[in-house]
Amino acid sequence: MSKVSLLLLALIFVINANAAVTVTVNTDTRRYDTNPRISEVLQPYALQQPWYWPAATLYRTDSNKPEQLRQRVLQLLNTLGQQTSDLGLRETYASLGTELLSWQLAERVVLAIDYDAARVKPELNPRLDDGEYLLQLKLRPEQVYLTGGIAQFGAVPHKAGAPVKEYLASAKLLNGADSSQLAVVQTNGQVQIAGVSYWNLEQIEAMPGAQLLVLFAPPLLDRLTADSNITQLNTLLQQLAVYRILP
Amino acid sequence: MMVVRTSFTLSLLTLALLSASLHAANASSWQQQGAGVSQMAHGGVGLIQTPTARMAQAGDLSINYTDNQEYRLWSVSIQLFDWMESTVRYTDVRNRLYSDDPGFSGTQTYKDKGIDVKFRLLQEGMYLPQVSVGVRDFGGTGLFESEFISVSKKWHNFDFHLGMGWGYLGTSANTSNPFCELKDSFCQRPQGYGGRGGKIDYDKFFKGPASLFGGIEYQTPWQPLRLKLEYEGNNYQNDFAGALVQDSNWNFGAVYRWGDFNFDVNYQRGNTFGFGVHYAMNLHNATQVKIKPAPRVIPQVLNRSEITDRSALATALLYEAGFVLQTSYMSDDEFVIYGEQVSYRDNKEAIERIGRIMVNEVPAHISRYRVVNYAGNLPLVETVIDAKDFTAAARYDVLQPDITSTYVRQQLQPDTVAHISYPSNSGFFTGVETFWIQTFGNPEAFYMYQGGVFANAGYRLNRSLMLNGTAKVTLLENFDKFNYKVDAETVSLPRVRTYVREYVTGSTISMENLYLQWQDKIAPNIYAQAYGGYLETMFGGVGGEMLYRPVDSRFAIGFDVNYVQQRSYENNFDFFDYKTFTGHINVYWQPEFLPDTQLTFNIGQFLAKDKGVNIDFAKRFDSGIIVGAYAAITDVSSEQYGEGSFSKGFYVSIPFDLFSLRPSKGRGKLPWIPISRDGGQPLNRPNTLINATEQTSPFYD
Repeated sequence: MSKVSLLLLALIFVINANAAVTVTVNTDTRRYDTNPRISEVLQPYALQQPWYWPAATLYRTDSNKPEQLRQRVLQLLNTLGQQTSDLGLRETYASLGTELLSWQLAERVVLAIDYDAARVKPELNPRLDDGEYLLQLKLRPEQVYLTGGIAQFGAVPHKAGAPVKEYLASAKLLNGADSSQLAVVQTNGQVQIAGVSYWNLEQIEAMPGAQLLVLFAPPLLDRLTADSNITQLNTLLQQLAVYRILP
Repeated sequence: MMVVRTSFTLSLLTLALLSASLHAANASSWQQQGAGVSQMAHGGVGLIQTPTARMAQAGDLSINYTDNQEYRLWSVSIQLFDWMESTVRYTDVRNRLYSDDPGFSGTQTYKDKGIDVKFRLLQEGMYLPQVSVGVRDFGGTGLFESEFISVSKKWHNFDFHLGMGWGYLGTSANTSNPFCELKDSFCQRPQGYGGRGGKIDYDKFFKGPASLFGGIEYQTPWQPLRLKLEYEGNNYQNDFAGALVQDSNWNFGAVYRWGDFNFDVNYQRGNTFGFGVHYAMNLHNATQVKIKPAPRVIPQVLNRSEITDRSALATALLYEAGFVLQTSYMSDDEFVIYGEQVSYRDNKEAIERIGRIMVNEVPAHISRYRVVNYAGNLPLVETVIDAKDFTAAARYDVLQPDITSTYVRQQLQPDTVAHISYPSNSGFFTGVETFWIQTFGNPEAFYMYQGGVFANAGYRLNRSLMLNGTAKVTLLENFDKFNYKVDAETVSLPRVRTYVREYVTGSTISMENLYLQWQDKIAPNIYAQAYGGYLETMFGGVGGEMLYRPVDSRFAIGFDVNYVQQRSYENNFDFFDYKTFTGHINVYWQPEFLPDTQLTFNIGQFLAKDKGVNIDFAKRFDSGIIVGAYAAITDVSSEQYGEGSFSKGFYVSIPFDLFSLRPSKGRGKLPWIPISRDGGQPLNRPNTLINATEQTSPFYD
């Protein structure tokens, strides 16, 4: 057998070895030789705890999309920092950059994970493609996470029935942050823009475990040209927040 | 005059389900919804008498009735885009008669119609207000003709509005007209109206006395209730209903929201009570509960090696996917079905349902399915489905399945049709359609109607040739109230349409059409038809049409030529002397910059031998409802044309699917033509190629 075909054989072997699914459910890792359905993956864990299914999340951990996205955002923040002479703004971009670096990321698969629903509705019970996954099952989260153009990043207690504006009551917004609206990255992966100012206040609630992403205010003139750097930053931040792995 | 045609059984269903179906689907989110905006007395978002800069949600449709002592206002307001609102309105002036001649209009009170439009210029922000500009009643004879600029700024539960109005909104002249300072011609507002009414009188815009108006809308802590306070700039001295006493410029109102309804009461001019009822729905979210078979489940193991029961396949395709199978063909690795989609208007759903049946019923070694869609006997489009990918997606064997990526739509390939002969289905056919003709604002009665059935029968000679005849049977009408048959205007144009009353009152049973038609696809993407006979109520003759329309293209172009003679209204078969050539170049375009919009241009010679273009604008909402408007601009002057100045009209096209419990195709068109005369009138061809080839690049469905 020539060297080339040996190499080919080795390659095929490697591909075959990868042709399987590895799923880490919280901390427990299992390998599946055939592609399992969601319900099969959940079955050993589903009844262990009273899981809060709306907060169950699935990530692909072998995708480099999130890291590429993070680098794009960091680059954008860098550009924005260089463009401005406002020291306060530079500080904002720098501190946001540091915050983003601390995020643990993976490509979120936006799919409602629910053991009961998966066994009833085929569309909620797809097979996992080959690859590595993280499946987080959580008890009902008691916190929501503040991030973006805000001075103190971090978790605050969830308030039932409260409009998102209430979480901002004691928070200090950074220079350049948009005080009119913020993006609510709901626990199920949906992003909603919520008005929080005197002129556009909306009764939008955050799900337990949601992220409240304070956006940045485009300069007045830039509002007319929709594709400014700031608007782009706002869009990318929302995508990145969806990829964030929360405790 | 407007004709609504619906298929018979569906129209019965429609009546039964009308109230249950078309409600706005606000409950799609568990988040609490804001109360939204409310309508003013004239229709359109505003306070009581005055408009604000606010806009409703895109796709909102509001049907309004308000009573304001002298004026009763019926209106429909549609938010066509999030930046554009349009309103049409009928005004009933209770203290004026329709005409001074009781023999002409009896005791009917005065009616007027009007059209308003409002554009948003600036969206509200932290510091800037929302700004809109609009014109009210710009159709020429408008009683409330005015222009305005309005700004709105919200502060917590208070919404503050300030505007400047010209015309009806500005008669009190409580401020100076800023444009008058710039240019003298803006100081005086020209009187009267241009042409024979119905034109947009640009030369009046923003001229003459101006007034400031404004007000506050307060959302009370009790969600359904809102209060309104308004200061208006009209002094009611030049009103059509006479000089009205105005004790105060301040008006007060309250709006109570109940589901999709708003009820309002108000106190106007310091001496007048008014009230209104408003019903709102959203054209984007309108839905209907459906009863349909569950999509076929694909088992884990597929081991079928041959089709054991062909009739079971045909039955399944019909009942589970609405596909009438005419013939099929199987090669080594491909299975092709030929037929017509009759139920599912959503092509994606139809293809998924067909695919699921195919995977179950067709041998497992087949790697490609081809679905060839015909409309009648015209082959229109083929969809090539990759069996493996489709199976994986439909069985959820992949994590994020996307069925649409497993097939392509394309024009018919030569080898697709080479293997089969499509059944010609020659023989007799019959059909029944209901019709409803209605017309608003007539002197004899405000609402006049005629209803009945079109009984249709024909003989198909071969795949592309057929003979077709339709009898019109009137069952229900109040057209016997007509005081006159032909209007008294002296006209210079041939009367090609204004004998309409003669035609519709001829006899209870009449021959609507009787013609021979040939229709076929003559080259890739090119369709043609020829027809001759009694083509429509008022004309007969011969004609032909050609259309170039690629699959899923935003563009189509074609032409039609016809030589026609006017039919007699005295009996079913004779002709009058008037003959003409009429034909158009037809351009259909869905521009990318206007979402879900189709523009149609028909350029050529119309029935009265006038030359010009008919422009049609159609906007499609997510529910499938289409709202459209058209205008014909020809070389006929407004004096020659007569009342209305030029031909124009509006329509709403509603899918029957929104009313029926079973999935269905087909639509009903509700036209609204303010005044119809002889200029800019096209021949109503019995069939048009653009409709016949709808599936190639669907706009309507």
